[in-house]
Amino acid sequence: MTTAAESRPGAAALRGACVGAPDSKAASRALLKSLARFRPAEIAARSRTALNLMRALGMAPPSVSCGEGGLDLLPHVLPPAEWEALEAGVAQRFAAMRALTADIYSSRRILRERIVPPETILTHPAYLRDCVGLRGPRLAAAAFDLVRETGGPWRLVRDHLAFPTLAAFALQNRRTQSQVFSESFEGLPVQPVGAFTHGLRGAILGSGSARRAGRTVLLSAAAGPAAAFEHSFLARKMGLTMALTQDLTVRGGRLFLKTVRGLERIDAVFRAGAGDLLDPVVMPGREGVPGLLACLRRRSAAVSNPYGCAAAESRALWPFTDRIIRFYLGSRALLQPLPAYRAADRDQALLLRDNPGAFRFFTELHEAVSPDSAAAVLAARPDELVAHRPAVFDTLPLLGADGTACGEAPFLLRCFAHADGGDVRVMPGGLTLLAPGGDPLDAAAWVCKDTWVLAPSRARREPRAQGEAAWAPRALGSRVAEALYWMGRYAERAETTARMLNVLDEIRIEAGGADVAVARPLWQALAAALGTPIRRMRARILAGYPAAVFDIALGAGEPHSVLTSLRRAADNARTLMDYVSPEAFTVISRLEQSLGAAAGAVQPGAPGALPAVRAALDAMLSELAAFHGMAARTMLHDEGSHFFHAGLHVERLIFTLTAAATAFGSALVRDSRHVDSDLENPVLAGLLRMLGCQDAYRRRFQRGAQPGPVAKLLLASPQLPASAAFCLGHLRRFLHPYRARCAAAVRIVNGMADAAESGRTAALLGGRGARRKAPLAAWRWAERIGEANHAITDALFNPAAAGDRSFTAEFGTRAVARGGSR
Amino acid sequence: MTRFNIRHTTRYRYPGGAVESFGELRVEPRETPGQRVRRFSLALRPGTETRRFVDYFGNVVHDFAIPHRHTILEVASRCEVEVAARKIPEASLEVPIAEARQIFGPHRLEHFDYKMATALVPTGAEFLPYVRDWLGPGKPMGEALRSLNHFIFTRFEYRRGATDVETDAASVARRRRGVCQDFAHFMLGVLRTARLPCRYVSGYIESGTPAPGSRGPALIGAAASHAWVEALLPGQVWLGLDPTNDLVAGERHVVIAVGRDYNDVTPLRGTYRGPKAGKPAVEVRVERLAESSES
Repeated sequence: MTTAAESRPGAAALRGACVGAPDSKAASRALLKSLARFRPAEIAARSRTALNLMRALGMAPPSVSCGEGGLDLLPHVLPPAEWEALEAGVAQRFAAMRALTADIYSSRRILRERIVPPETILTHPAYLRDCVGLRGPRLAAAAFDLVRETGGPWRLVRDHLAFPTLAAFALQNRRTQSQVFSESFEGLPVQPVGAFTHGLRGAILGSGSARRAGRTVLLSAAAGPAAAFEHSFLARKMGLTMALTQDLTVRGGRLFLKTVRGLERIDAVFRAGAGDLLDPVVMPGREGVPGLLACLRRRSAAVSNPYGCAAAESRALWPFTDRIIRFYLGSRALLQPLPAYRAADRDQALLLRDNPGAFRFFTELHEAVSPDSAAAVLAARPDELVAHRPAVFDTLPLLGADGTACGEAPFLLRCFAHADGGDVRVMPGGLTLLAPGGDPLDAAAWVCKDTWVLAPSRARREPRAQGEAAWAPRALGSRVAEALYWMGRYAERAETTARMLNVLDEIRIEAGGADVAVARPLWQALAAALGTPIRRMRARILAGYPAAVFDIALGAGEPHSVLTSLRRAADNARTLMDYVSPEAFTVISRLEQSLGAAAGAVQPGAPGALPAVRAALDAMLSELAAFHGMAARTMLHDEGSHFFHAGLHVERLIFTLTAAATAFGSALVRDSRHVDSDLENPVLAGLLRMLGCQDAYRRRFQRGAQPGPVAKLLLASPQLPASAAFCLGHLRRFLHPYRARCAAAVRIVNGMADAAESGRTAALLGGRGARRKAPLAAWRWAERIGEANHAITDALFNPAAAGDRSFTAEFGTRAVARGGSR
Repeated sequence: MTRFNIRHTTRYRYPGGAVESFGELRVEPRETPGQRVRRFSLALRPGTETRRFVDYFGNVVHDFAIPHRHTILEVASRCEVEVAARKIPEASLEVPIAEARQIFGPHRLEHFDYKMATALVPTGAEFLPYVRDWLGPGKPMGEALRSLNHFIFTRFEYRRGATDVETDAASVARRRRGVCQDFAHFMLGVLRTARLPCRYVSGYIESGTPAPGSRGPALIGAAASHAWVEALLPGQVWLGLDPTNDLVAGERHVVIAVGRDYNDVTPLRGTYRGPKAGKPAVEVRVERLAESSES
């Protein structure tokens, strides 16, 4: 960077130009001019860093494709004067919408007093008649989309009343901008945005039931990585526990969170996402929490934002903006939506019918309607159709991929507001979304910009202090525990499989590339540990060794490949983004990307394929070690980490037991028992290498690998991490706090641990009669571990159905029962 | 005045077991100007607490929850209802349709729900020919409604299994067959296309003896609950019309719930977790207790 650290003489001039600019377009242009002090290649490199960071966080929103543009590092700069007017308009709209959304579910004065016609509200699909008359919290937070007409005023083009969608993106963009391009802030009085989540938390808790406002969860619909990022970001920042619908259950008219120690009472819910997630009892076939509406009727739980408030988002309400605001607030509307024509109005319908080319058409639900199909909608369902005169919208400069200015694009500014007692607070700035395609009303792809509001503005009030400490459930949520457990299992599976593959290939290389007899039982051991039929594995290796190794290592469609295991670990991590630290998550997410990229780059049949696969596996093994280190450093060593490690040890146990039993059952080991010598058994030596304990063996026994001692080491050594005794000891300690809920698993694990530590298990493999017993033992052990796994799953991950094991097989099938009335 | 003793039992079997059953029951008859509920009791098996509330449309609802595992869900309601013959004011019946619309005009908000199209009752072109034939602007309300009722009775074929709970009024208009629910939906589609407020009624009908002036030995709708239509007349009077039996609903009809269409009045709606259950066994018995005056 050329001049980043210098105190520039131009800084004051830039500040003057931005603060005094007539509008945000002029201010942003002034900032763009000042960026000439950086080399374009430098800006381009930082843009790529920003993009990679966004990808690693899963920030590819479903409705907002960041494309290659990602975050445009030229911020959208709002001068103080322009922002003050905007902020007042947004705050006023929020206050009006707060009143309107409460009114349409209670006395409906706005309809009774004919301020707006009934069809604008009552035909809206989001108007939930089942929620009319529920008394609960009012609107806590919302988002509003604005555009600026060229040379004209700002216009509202969309309300988001169910949830302040993408607020997390605005906050993360500020963080990214300051991380990768801190010099851009130099000398400019940019107002911070971080207080928003704190204020939002106050708005949610303040709106809950006054008695125990603390026990609040953020309810999320698991709808893709972008939503997972957004909801977990907010949950983390607000100190709320994140729940999916299946984490909540209703008992006796009260709402509960399922945890590994049983059900924990919940008083309030902050619902995230635009979907309603209400109650499938009243919305058949839709996702939700069965019985939730009964809780709301009993007022045993409160939900923000109120269900059904999206009915007030209708475009058909726009022509009545002045009347609505005067009705509720007694003032003139400061922020007008785009002028709109309603087909439900007969005179306007005639105008629209006769001049379809002169308008842009939308449904009341904001879907664009082509002029051709508008006529049909106009005739059949006029209530749904709204039209606007085409308008030209203002643009902002855009940085290209090469780091230089590449023209301008129209944009949309999404502003976020939340309640603050009876008052309203607006996040300074918001999320700027550029539509390089040209149409901010109906864009397919967006590019984000950090949005800067420059001080001086009127003095900021601090958000009201919220007395309650953050509530955290006493126990870990069952779903979180389960995801951590499986994350541990898959991470371990990826690691051990990779290590075994490396050793197998080394053995092949050491034998000069020949198919040595020693390798066969070891391949068998790997196949058994992975649960693949050995015949299939052998057929594959015969068909082509490099291709077989590639499939087990990097095969994307392979259920047992290293890549698949790693992806599953990352998938589980993604559902845990409110729990896993961003640092640890970034590591595993990058690891998944790089291994996936390696898989795409290697040609399975090509000459250099094997070394390339090995290199990818080695890189993964060291990155995985980094992940474990990062997780150990940045995450709480709490109940959750116990579940992660339990999964890891269960998986390691499966590998050790099945691999050992398979290898010991092979003829090469069986027959060596008759030879009473100190010679090393090559199969057992390979097994020790595969399980990563050759050094430990040498140190302990100081001789060649032989059945008795190897069995003792792998099964009965409580100090060796790969040993069954070690893993079982860990599981025994892990299960102890849950022994009352989990008696079946405790029985199995304790029984196996006792047998392993006493050496009885080792005797089965290494002792007399092992020839017959070893393969049988392998099956038996695999079964026992499977049983223990099921018992843990039933007791800890599915507490609502505890004691009901036959049911868990059906988990997830939900049928809608409907009475017949014929 | 007639008194009925009604027993209504619905039984679901879940051979694979069900847990977390949550639901709402609309089985308690509502009070209407011609109907008094003297007694009502509800029993669920497995036994569970229910809670009573009144819904958006004024119907009585009981919600229930059965969290633990069960293989059977039985809902048994019993009620004793008094139904009186209602005198519909002649004046209301004689108002011409166009004038009725004028009279309804200022009540747009109150009537809005009962004039709007719904998933099961769309409005529009499909129903226009029937509006033209039966609901001409000059026709008196009473006569027009009865003739439309009679038309459905004579021209639509009552056939079980021809439709299901999701069949909408437009497809009934095309196929002209179905059961009481379909006839009611169709009639609502015609009335709403004519911009007349009307609502779906779920209820019971006394059967077993021939209805006066009706064909056939017994009224249809006996084996399970029944459905018909109420149309609004000027003077805020709801006139019950039963197109399945060509009757004006009267002393032999017991109203349970009203709504925009079947979805608003489903006797049992809810969810459970477990394998899909088969069809429920439904049993309805309507018994006449006493007659206090001439019928």
